[in-house]
Amino acid sequence: MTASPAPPLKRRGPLIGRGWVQAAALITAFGFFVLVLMGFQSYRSTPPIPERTVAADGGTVFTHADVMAGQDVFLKNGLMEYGSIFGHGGYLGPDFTADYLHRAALLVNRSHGGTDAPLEQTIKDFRTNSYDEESGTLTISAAQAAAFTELTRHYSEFFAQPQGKTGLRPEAITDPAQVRQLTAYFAWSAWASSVERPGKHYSYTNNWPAEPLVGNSPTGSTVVWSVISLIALIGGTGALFAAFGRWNWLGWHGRDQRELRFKEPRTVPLTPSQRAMAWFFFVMAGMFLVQTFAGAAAQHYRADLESFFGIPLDRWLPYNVMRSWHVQLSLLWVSTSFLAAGIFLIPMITRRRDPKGQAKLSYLLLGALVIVVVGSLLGELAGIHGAFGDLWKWIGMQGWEYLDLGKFWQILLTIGMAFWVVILWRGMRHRLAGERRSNLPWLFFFAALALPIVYSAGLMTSNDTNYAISDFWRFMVVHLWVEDFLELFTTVMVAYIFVLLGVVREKIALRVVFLDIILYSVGGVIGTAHHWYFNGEPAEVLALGAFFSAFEVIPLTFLTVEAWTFIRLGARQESKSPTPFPHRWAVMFLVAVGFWNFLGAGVFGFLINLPIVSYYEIGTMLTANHSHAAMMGVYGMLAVGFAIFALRYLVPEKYWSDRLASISFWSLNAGLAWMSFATLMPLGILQLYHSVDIGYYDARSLEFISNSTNALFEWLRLPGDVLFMTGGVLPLLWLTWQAVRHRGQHVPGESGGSATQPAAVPTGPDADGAPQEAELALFTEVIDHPQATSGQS
Amino acid sequence: MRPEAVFVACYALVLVGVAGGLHRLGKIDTSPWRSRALAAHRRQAPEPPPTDRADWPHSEAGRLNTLIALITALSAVTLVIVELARHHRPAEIALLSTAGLVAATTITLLLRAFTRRPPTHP
Repeated sequence: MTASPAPPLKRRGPLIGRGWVQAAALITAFGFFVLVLMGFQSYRSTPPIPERTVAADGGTVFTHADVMAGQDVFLKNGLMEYGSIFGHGGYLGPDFTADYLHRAALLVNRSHGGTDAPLEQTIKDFRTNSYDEESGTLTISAAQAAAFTELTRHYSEFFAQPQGKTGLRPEAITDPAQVRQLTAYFAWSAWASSVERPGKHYSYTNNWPAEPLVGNSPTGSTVVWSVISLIALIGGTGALFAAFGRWNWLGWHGRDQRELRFKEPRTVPLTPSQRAMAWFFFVMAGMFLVQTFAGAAAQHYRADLESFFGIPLDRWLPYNVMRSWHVQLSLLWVSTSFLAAGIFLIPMITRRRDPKGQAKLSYLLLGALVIVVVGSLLGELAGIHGAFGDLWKWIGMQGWEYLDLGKFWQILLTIGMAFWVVILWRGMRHRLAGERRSNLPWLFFFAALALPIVYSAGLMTSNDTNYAISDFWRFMVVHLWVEDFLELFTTVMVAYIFVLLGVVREKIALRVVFLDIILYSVGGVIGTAHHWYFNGEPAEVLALGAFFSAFEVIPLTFLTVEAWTFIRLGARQESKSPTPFPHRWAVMFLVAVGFWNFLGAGVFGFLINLPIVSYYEIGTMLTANHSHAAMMGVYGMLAVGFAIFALRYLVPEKYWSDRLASISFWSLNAGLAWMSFATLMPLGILQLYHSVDIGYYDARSLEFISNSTNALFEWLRLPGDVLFMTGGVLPLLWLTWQAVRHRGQHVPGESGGSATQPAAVPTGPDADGAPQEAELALFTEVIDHPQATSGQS
Repeated sequence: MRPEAVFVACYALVLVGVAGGLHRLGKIDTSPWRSRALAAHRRQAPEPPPTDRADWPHSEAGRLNTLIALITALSAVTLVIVELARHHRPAEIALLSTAGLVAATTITLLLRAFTRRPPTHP
C-alpha cells in the first residue's frame, strides 16, 4: 500500500499562544516537583522495620526477615484483595492493621488488670517509641509479646479454617511458620500505627486507626486540614466560575453561525487498521462481561458467606480471586477501548491511508493483550493456590491491589502500551511533521505517550520494600495513571472527536485541553497524596494531599459544565443538518460521563476526601460507592461511548441497531444508579456510623459486615446488577460481534481501505484578521454563512 | 421502633430528596448564553439561534437525570417494602408507609416526566 496522493500539509503555525504552553509547562513541572519531594519524604520518613523486636526479657519476638516474609505471604495469597492493611485493600475481610491493634490492645489491657476501658499502662505500652535506631532493636512489653503469641494462634485458626466461610478458600494458609510471619507483618503495621513518631505526639500513621485502647484519635492536622480543604474547594470552584464569567474565551464555543451536514457512516471509508478495531471492541465487551460476572460473585460473598446458591464457590473461586479479576478487568477492558479508539482515530486525524503493515501490528497488539489478560488472570488464580514457587510474584499473584498481576505480565502490558504508541506514531508521523508541538495532533501523541511511561512507575512496587514505599509507587498507577493521565488522554481524545465532528474549532479545543492540563497539574498530581493520609507518610503529606486534592473536584465540575455546553452546541447543529446525526448514542454516553463525573467522582469522591472523614471511613462501602460510580460512571461510560462511536462505522446500517445501543445506555446507567443508591450508599452510611460510634475495627469485622441488616442491603443489589449485565453489557457484546462479522464492509467498492477524504482546506481570515486553522472536519461538511459570522467572537 | 426501620424510612426520604434534586438539575438550562456564571459570555457573544428544549440530544441530557432520579425513588420504595416485610410493629408501619407513600408519589411524577418523549426523540 502506498502513501496517499494528497500533497503533504505545510507546517502549521501554533494555534495557541505561547503563554498557555508556558503556564501549562510551569504548573506541570511544579506539580511533579512537589510529587518528587513527597516521594523523597516517603523514603525518609517511612516507619522503620526493626531488625529485631524483643520482649522486655530480651527474647526475640519477631525479626525484620519475619515481617518481610509476612508481607510476601500477605501478597501471594491475595489478602490485599480480601481485607486491607493500613486501610488499603479489599472490603470483605478485616483491616488487619486495625484488627491486630484492637485485639492486641485488648489482651494487653486485660493483662494489666483492665477490662474494655483503656488503661494508662496499656496506652504507654503502645505509644512509647522504644525503637533503637542504632542497633535496629525494638523492645516491647511482656504483655505485648504475650499478645503476639496469642494472636498467632488466633490467625492460625482464622486462615486454616477447613470449612471456609470467610470468603477465603478453605485451609488458605496452614503452614505455622507462614502464619507466624503473617502475624509479624500485622504486628509491625499495628506498631507503626500506634507508636509515636520520634519527636512527635502522633503515630507514623497520623494516629490512624481510631482506637481508644491505645489513645489513637484524630490529630490536629487531620481536623485543621479538613477545614482548609473544604475552603479550598469552595474558593477554587468560585474562582473558576468567576474566571468563566470574566473571560468569555474560556470553555467551548461552537460554530454557531455555520451549518453542519453530517456524513452518513456508510460513506466514510475505513482503513484496514480501523477494521481491525472491531476485534478490539469485541474483546473489550467480552472482558466487560467477565468483569461483571466476577463482580457479581464477589458481591455474593458479601450477601452470603456460606455458599453460592449451594455451590461451595470458595473452593475454586474465592472472594480474593473474584475481586482481583473484577478490579484488574475494570482497568483492562477500559484500556482496551482507549487503545482501540486511539488507533481508530488516527486515519481520521491524518486523512492518510494506513502505513504498510499497520493492521498486522494492530492484530499483534491484540494478540499480546489477550495473552496478558488470560495469562495474568490464570496466574492470579493459580498463584493463591501456591503454584509457581519462587516465581509467584513474576507470573502468579503479585498481590498489590490494582497491581495484582504478576510482574512479568505487568512488564508485558507496559511493553504492549509502548508498542501501541509506536503504532500511533507510524500512523501519525507525516501529520506530526507538519505540526507545531503545541498543536492538537502532538498533544494527542504526547497524551498517549504518557500512558506507558506513567504506568511503568508501577513497576517500582516490590514485595521486598517497606509497605509505605511500595504504596507510594502503587498510587502512581491507581491515582496518577488512572485519574490524571487517563483523564488527560480522554480529554484530548474527546476534544479531537469534537473537532473532527466539526462542532468545535481546533483552537477552542486546544484551549480547553491546556486549561485541563493546568487544572489537573494543580489538583491531580499533588492531590495523589490524599491516598497517603494514613499509610505511614508524614503529616506534611496529609496537609498537601488534603489541600490540593480539593482542587481535583474543580476540573470535574468544569468538565461537567463543558459537557453540558457541548450538548447545547450539538443540539443546535443537529437541528440544522438535513442528515441525521450518526453519533447520538456515543454523545449520550458522553452526557452520562458528565453526569457521573459530577455525582460519582465529584460528590461521592469529595464526600470521603476530607482527612477527618477518611479517618473513619477508609476501606468502607462509601469508598466502594465512589469507586464504582467514578470508575464505571466516568471511564466505563467513556469506553463504551468510544466503542459505540467506532461501531457506528464498523457495523453496516443494515445490522446496526439504535435500539440496542439505547437499551445498553439506559440499562448501564439505571443499573449503576441502583447499585449505588440501593446498596453501596446505605451500607457505607451504616458502616461509617458504626466506625465512629463503636470503632473502626468493629465496622470492618466479618461479624458486622454479615449481619442481617447489611445482608438485606447486599441482596437488594441483585435487580440492579441483573439489569446492568443483561440489559447493559449483552447488547453491547452483540453490537461488537456484528462489527467483527462485517468490519465496516458497507462501502461499495471500498476494499483496500483507502481513506478518500478531502485534504485540509484553510478557511478564510478570522473576524480579527488572523488566519484561521485548516478545517479538520471529517465526518461533516461545514458550510459557512458569511453574513452571520461577523459577530462571532 | 427498631433502629433499622427508622434508618430505612429516613434514608428513603433522603433518596426522595436526592431524586427531586437530580430531576431539577436536569431541567436547568446550562447554556452559556443563559447561565449567570457565564454572564460575560452572554454579554459579548451574539445570541445563538433559538433552540427548542426538545431538540435532541439536549432533551436526552435532562432525561438521563430523570432516569437516575426515577431509579433513586424506586430503590427508596423497594427498601421500604422489604423493611415492612421484616419489621412491622404499628409505629414502624406508620413511619415506613409514610416514607413509602412519598416515594411512590415521586415515582409517579418522575415516570410521567420520563415517558413524556419529545417529538424529536430518536
